[in-house]
Amino acid sequence: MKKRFFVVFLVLMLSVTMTGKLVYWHTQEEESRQQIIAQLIESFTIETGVEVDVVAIEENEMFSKLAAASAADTLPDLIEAGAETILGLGADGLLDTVIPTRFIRNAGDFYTGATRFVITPAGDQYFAIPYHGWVQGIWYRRDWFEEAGLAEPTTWDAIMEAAKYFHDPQNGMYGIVLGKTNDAYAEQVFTIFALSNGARIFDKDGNVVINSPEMREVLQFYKDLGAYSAPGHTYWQQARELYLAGRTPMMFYSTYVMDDLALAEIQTQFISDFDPDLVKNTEFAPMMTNSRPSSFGQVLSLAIVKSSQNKLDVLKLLDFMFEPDNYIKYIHMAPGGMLPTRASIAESEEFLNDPKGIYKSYGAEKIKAIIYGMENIEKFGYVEGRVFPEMGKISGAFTIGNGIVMMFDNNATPDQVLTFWREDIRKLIGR
Amino acid sequence: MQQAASSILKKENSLGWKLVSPTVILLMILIIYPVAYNIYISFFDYGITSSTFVGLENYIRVFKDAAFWKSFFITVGFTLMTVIGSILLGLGVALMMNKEFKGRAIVRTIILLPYITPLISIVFSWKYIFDPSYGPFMQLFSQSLGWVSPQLDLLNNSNNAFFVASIFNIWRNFPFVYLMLLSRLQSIPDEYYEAAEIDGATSWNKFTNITLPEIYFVMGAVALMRGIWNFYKFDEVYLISKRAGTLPIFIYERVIGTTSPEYGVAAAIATILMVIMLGLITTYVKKVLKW
Repeated sequence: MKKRFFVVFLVLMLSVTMTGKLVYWHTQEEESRQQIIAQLIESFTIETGVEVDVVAIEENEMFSKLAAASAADTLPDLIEAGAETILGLGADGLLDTVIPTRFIRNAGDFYTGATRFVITPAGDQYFAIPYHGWVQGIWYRRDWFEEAGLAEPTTWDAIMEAAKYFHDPQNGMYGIVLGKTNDAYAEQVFTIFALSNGARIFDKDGNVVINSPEMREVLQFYKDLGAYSAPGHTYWQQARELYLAGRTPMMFYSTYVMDDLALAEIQTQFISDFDPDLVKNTEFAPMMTNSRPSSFGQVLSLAIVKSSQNKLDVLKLLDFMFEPDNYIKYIHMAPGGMLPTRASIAESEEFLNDPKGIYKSYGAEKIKAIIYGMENIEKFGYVEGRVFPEMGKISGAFTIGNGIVMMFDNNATPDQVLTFWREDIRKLIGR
Repeated sequence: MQQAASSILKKENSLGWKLVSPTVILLMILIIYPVAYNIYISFFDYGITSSTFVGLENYIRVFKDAAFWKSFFITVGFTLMTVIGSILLGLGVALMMNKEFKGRAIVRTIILLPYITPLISIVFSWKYIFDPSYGPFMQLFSQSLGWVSPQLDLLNNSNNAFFVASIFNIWRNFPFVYLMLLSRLQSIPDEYYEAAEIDGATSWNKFTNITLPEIYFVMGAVALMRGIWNFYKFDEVYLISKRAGTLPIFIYERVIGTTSPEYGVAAAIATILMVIMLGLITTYVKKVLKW
């Protein structure tokens, strides 16, 4: 009798915990970050009694993993992902818009620059809650530029002039490091050039306008600049290594590079000698101008799956993750890389006081300028307040990168690349 | 008497079947079920939130897709090149190692290294060596000697990625071929060669009339194995260069690395490949291995 009672009790207990388990997918794959997330989740469980299954997913695999989970009926409750992924999932009708919309409106201090990226195409609701973001631009050696009397690399002409001036491949010095392979990095680097020339993929009515004189100009400039860039199919890894080794004066990188520049223990993973003056001598140019100013970056947001059975618990978890202490602990995982999306956090002392002192080494003013840069981030999929989730498909197929590779590998002309892009986009989105 | 014997045989037979049946059934479930399920989803348009029956549409799309055929022929080329390359190299090395010389044991071990070293570390060394910005290969041949253009990116240029992936594959897998052939070579009795020498045979005569017939079937079987493996080879090719454009990479990029996964199309491709491979293997086994 006792035994039977015990078994029934056990089954009951199990079923209670089974239904109460939240599933949270995020894209922070690095082990050190996973540990911090695990700690935060643990204290959440102690506080609320809600169990959470945390799964780290490679962002490129998000869609296929979700499709598999959907088929197996094991969809997560909460997802952290980049803007294009969120838009794509939203367009597939997978995401809840009620909770994020209410959450953002109640909080009242989210940067509009960040919430723009998760707004529904109709423009009255949100697909997700922006959690943290980064800005990308040119990091350059201010000391070398000053010595050479060069203007800061914020315009096309200045960038070209500096790249020409410094390029000396015989002695292992390269003018700049461009994205020249078919990956997300190449698309990011190319995007800022395109937008600074007013070249777009979609116009505000959703017509594909990639085949424009502006875009041809961008391609031609990119190809010309490629002659003064590090050779081969360079991506972020070469950019970082060559810059840290003092073999290029300019690199395109997100704010995630801030700790690589400032901390000896991270810098010496890539190069043998730590340069303590590198932080001082490095300047960040988040804006680029040719016919108009533009800046590029990414915002990662928390999205709730529509079919989730645990929305109450999801709300609890969201409240917990946005509590200032927890929020700051989370974004201190990658100082510089994870910038807050809420004004109240960005302006707080605790945020500027990260454990490794990285923000201190840059100074509060520089950090505020970078966060301000996030307000002005632009992307191909967002035009004058209109949102085009189709951009997710174009990014996912690495169309932009494939065109760039054609240009450098097979010496394709800008017109040939434009023709290829137009065809590929038609294949992908059917217009 | 005979009847008794045959009934014992029958009993033994049925006992044998009973004994292996759990294994057979388990294997059937493990192999047949995924294959059948794969064929099943190849008739559907499989999305994140829905799946609709589309009949043969996936197959029609695959057959009409120029990109598919391009990567199909690249894969056939890759398979032929790597199989022939690794067989020739493996055979050459095996013939050399079949001779007695000082330090043979150490050399034999060294030859095995490419095959037994973890793939990921080897790939990274290759990538480092050939990196155009800081690789030693380019430092030497471009910056110091000026023999090659500093713009040369051996590993990632879409025009030569296929050759690099093939060479890498041959280099990595020839030790396997060499090992198989060497063990067969070692078991050919020396008397054959002695008798041939008495009859005045040259080295070439000895190779074509004794060695080749003796190792023919091992070579055929190894070629078949390497052929199947290399046709579906994903890890080595993808890691060394994503731009090699073989079919497994084509399927992967269709499904995994995209924001609009096409499971139905990928399943259709897998089914088509399975049919083609079955046909090829059957012909090969009949004609070459003469089973």
